[in-house]
Amino acid sequence: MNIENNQEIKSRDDYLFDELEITGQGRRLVAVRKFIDKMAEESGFNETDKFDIKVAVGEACANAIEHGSPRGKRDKVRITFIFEADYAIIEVIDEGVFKPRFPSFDSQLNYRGRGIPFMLALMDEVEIKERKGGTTVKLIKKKN
Amino acid sequence: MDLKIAVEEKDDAMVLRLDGEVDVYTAPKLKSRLIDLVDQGKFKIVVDLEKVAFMDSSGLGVLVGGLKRVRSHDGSISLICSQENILKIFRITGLVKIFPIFDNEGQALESV
Repeated sequence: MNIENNQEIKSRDDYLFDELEITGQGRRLVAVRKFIDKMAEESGFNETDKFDIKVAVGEACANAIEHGSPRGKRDKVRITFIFEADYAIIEVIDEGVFKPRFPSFDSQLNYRGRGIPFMLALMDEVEIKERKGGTTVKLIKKKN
Repeated sequence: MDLKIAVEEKDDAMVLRLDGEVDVYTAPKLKSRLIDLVDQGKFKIVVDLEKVAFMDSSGLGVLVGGLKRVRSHDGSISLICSQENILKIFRITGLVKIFPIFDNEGQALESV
């Protein structure tokens, strides 16, 4: 699915769902954030929730692009969105090997590897599933 | 949204005013501006985040990298930020203890 198209968000009675596909380019994250804004807005999430979702999904996508795309632009990162009345579920699905990176505790000036702590702090649930041929990061945010 | 960076010399500090989004795509722009300032011998830096609509860990990483550079010359980086969403990401990472953060330019300039 091409995210350049101003596609209509699909809806099934009481929830919105859709998916995007991006290649290994950081620039596409702008489009992902715009998409989250649009879906979250339509589902009645407040500005703080929207910001939290955008940061967490952005971190998951950046990880997927950096580590989950061993063949570069040939690899796709798929992002699925479900926005229900009370919560949002976003899955970031890549084609590479997951490399967990946590900041070390010896120095706060070690600034790599903050992506996962961000996801854990901003979302209500974070699940990282490794499967053959890729990794799926599932993020759940309850509406505040 | 892209990232615009305006640089202004004020008192004996350099003020970087950021306008836009700081993410994995735009953070290198901020990094190169900070490196340029250090290369020019400017080690007292204030970064104004009041017009930043979005910042992720790559943005924080660049600021921390900049801080390491100026500290090695006895310099410092202070931030101007009163936006709750942006402050939150500094709190989550514990960086509120590393960067002096002010809600106005006057105090930020005095601190560097």
